Amino acid sequence: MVDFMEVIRRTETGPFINERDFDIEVIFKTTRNLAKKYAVQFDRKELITQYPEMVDGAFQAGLELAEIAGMFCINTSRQLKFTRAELLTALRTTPRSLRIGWGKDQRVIQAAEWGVSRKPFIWAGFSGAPLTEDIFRASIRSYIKEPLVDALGHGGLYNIDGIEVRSDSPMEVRATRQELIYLREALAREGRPGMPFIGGESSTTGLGDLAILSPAYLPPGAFHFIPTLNELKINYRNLSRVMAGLEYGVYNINLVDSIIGGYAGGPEGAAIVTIAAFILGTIVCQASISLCHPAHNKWVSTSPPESIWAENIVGQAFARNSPLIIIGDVWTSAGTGTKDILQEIAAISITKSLTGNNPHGVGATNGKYPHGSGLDARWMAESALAAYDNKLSLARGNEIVCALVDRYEDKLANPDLGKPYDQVYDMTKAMPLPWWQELYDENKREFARDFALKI
Amino acid sequence: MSDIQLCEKIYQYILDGDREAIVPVVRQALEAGEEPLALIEEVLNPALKVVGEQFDTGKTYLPELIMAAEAMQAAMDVLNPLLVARQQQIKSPGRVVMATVQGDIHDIGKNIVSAVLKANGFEVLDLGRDVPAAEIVTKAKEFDADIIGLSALLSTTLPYCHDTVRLLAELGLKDRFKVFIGGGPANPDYAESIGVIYGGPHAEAAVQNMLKVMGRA
Repeated sequence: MVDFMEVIRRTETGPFINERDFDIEVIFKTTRNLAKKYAVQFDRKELITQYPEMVDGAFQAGLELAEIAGMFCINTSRQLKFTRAELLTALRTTPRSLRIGWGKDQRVIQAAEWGVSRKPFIWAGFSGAPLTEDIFRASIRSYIKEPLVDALGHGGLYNIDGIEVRSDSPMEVRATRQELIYLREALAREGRPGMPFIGGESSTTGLGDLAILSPAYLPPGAFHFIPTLNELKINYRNLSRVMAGLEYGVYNINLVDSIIGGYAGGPEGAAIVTIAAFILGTIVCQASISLCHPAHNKWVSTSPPESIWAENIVGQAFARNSPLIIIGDVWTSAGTGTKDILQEIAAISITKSLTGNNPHGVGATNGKYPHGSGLDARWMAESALAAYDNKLSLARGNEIVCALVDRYEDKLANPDLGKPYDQVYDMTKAMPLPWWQELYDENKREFARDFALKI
Repeated sequence: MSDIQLCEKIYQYILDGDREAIVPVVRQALEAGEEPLALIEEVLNPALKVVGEQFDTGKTYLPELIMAAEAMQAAMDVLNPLLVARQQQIKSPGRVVMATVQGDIHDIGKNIVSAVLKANGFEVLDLGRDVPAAEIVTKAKEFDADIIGLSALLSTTLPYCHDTVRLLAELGLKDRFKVFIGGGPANPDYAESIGVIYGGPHAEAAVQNMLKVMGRA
């Protein structure tokens, strides 16, 4: 078993390689060869794969890539390499079930296992968007109020007392602390004080993250992100988050946003790189949970077909070969208050529900505008649970997801951005405005009718 | 090997991104009497443009674009001294300084834009990631850039884009460069609020907009 001090040693003693060669010669060329070797092939007509051989091949490819490439330390230009035995031991010892949160709000989140039908765990919040203090405080309530939501993760603040929050500045510390004050205030106010949550999303460099490791802000037992950088890279700042978090007692979530069209290559490569990142993250990030977000280089969101397919491969690969607790970003191009956002959410969430990724979101408008609301999260939960409750097969799920993608794919270049939170929700009651609720209900009826689902 | 066969090989090496193999073939082509400027304009640039178009349509990916640009650079290292000796110049759409701004280490978006710019014939100075405003301005002056391209993936690094614009204004350089911003949180409203040009939602859009301001699109 490789402990974290050994990880640090390897940042100093691992093989030296320049970053260009790591990106091109190691990541790109190895991944391309592994995709061929294991016959991993994107199929637009089969966004939910029904070939277990390909899924298993993708897992083997990811494991092989993890062994060959390791993780690149940006500060030292060294590869943190691990033997196959070390990687497999780490996978075996990573928890497959966690009891998280406190008191009556405590929940259990589990790794998906092939052949075992499990209710998806709903991790909600307005992730990824820049929020003012007013909108943060008001909008967070709309997500906590949703009864289907199990856990919270609500994005960051970009403005405090009228001052812009800058990364790596004193304002990063202030914003991250203020985020936790508002978050915990909202949980108490809505009567769910023990709800599990991710904190520190205002901390982009790690500085703010370190400043909240105190029971007054981020209590032991809560979660924070450890980002794996593109592709298979880490730096000292993020390793410092791991170090501090380990000693303090928070859970680490390995945040992996492989780029489709980037160093990994196409969707096949993004899936293989994500699998490798998850495996390596169990050691380097000391991760208890892994977050999947294969991002399209043009459309960013997780709703393009290539992204949905990659996530489906990653989820199934771990469920079949080495169960790991995975959450997956539900990121849309469209914004709240539109029919398009609901179509995107359903396609992503059904895929996640059927392939072992628990939905996490909704990040609307690709994080560009504060156009999100609690109803987005309700639909994420309802559509994910519909797949579970209706016992959808992979084949039927694929038909539904492909049909949904057909409805919005052409709009990704010019999405309907919808409206800001204060134009879709009553700011004081944290309730949807009637027109938005009606649009939601109409969409739900159509969805149930079109796909013959009980919801 | 005929001149045509040599040119076809050079063209193919750009498509393949083979920076090792291209150099001896370029030398052979020169020995066979090929003109350096003609090689650039009729063989190298068109090949690189094809790779850029393939990237735009999702047929190739960032590494292939980078490798093609590296092969181009390897060829240019052979050809540039000859251009200087003959007092010839390449027709480039413009010179661009690219940087991921201070506080931000997410550089893949900037790398994609840099690669697509090169595929479109721009001369690019890539300053890397986490670059302070003062360094961007200094390098833009030294490079005699037409365009400064600023990339930010985080909403909390957008203020560092604004810093660059303010510094340019303080130094009386506001009108000397066209400043573009792009990346996850950037949008047209924010760009307008700080007096810069919004690149667009993705790399190809940014490059098209840069071609437009340079009067080439």
